[in-house]
Amino acid sequence: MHGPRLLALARAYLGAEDQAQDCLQEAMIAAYRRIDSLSEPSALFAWLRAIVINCALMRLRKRAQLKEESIEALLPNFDERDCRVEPDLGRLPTPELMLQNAQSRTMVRDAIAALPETYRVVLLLRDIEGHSTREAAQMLGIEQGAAKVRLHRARAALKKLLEPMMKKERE
Amino acid sequence: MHPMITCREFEAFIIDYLEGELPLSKRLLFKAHLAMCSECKRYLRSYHRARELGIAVFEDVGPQEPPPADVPEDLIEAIVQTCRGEGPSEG
Repeated sequence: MHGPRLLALARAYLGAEDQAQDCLQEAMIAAYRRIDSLSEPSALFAWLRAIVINCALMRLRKRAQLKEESIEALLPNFDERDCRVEPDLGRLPTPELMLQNAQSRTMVRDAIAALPETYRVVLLLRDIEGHSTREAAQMLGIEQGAAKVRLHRARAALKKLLEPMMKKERE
Repeated sequence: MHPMITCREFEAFIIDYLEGELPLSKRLLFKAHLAMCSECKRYLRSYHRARELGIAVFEDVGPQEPPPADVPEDLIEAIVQTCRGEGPSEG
């Protein structure tokens, strides 16, 4: 069943459930219309996934601007001497172990959804879809340097959002 | 350039280091700092783990999770059938 995975993907980009559902519907209609362009049927999911992402990015572009939200509170902490203040999370279990239950998977998805939009989209394109930073920048129409800064901040913020979960799950 | 860098400077180097774009001189400073700073070591460890969790959760099919409502499964099924050469039903 590809539907739930594709909906989760649209939701990750767009945030709002109604927008994600509309995006998926739109993407499936687009896919159906250009089914002839699918050269390798075994690559169906990847093909559908790319169409869903394109539709999501088009919707994001149609919004006047990506919502500019502050990410400052989720960035690393330093003391007055510029030394890092970092919690000790001990030995971290593997991602497979940490994601064994549905609740943990929901927590990770929620943490990604909680990232400010401008940052979340770069993280999704780069880390989840595996595009290069240059490609992600092109897709979003921003400078590569800006994409790198957003990517790093998004990862740092995701880490901070997942700290309570990592703390709970540590060995 | 100072022989050592602060944690804040280290932070600014991370993304270029991971992207393979940090010049050699800065790369040496980055590694030297990382070798000596347990806080930054811990930070990078959980930074990577958070990234891995994000990737893993999207790879996860989650068969035990019920499909949400309003997924256009009929449309997806039609596309899947077309790909299998069964052809869409007209009408």
